[in-house]
Amino acid sequence: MDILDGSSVEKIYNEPCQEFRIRCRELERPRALSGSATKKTNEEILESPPNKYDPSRWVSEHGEVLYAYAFSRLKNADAAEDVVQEALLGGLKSIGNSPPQGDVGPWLMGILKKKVVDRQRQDAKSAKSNFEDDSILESLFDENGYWREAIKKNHPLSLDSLEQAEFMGILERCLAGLPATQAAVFVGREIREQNPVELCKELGISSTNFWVLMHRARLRLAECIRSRWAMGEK
Amino acid sequence: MLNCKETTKLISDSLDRKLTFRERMGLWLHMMMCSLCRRFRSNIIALRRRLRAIIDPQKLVDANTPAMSEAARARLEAAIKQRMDDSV
Repeated sequence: MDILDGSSVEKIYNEPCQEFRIRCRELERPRALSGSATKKTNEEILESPPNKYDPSRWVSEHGEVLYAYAFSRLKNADAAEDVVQEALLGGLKSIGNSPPQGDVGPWLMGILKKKVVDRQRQDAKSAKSNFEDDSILESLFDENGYWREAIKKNHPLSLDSLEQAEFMGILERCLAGLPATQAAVFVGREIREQNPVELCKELGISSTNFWVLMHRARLRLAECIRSRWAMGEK
Repeated sequence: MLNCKETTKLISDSLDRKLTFRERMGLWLHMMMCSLCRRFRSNIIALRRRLRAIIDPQKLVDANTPAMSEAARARLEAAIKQRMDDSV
């Protein structure tokens, strides 16, 4: 494991200590982080001048980069902010036990990447539980599963006929509008060209779910591109 | 006989896995008669082709990344400060 977050550190320290309680007294110190010794540990870290880890500057120095990464993966401002906060607080919690080997930036990014994957898995899980409840299917198909009359009357668009610049502009906006899990799957498969098996593993979904999500993402994108193009948006 | 919802699912699947013989037959039968499903197929194939032709696709994903809002920045600063205060 490359990044030790709070929980894994706790595990490493806890396991031997249960057996060798006395000999491991020194190792036990970081365990007390959530207890009364926290005060001392953190004060030491925060007060040792010059403090290269100074967490009060994390947001101003690394916030933008972390946020950009989180947003590019999660496609949602609130979710991105949440995971950045989790990563920063996680970093704060574990800095006493496992300080970064090098710069703080990459160390925080490592923590963030784990938080992002956790979030994507969580999203995928909750998406699974209400898989049937997707508005795109209802808006496109009638109760018998055929294209709605309104859709048939739409002005057809051939994607090939779009100019590159126009296509890119519209596509950017439509990708941003995809639900998080559909975006994660579609971007991974079609844009990052990740191996589908790896992608499923990363997101913790089955291949059946993967195909369902791809289907919905494609329906959404095709419809979004068509309607934005029809509105004459550039 | 497949409906359009099922057909578009198979069309999408066909880009990611090999369809069974039975699925291919059903797809073919439906597509013979349904111009909207044919159009959907050509559009998602075009979408894939155009995405693969983009030289730096990551840009496409990053292009929409908004700057962190001032409010979000303030909330993050506050969360860190609070946690630091709590532990002192």
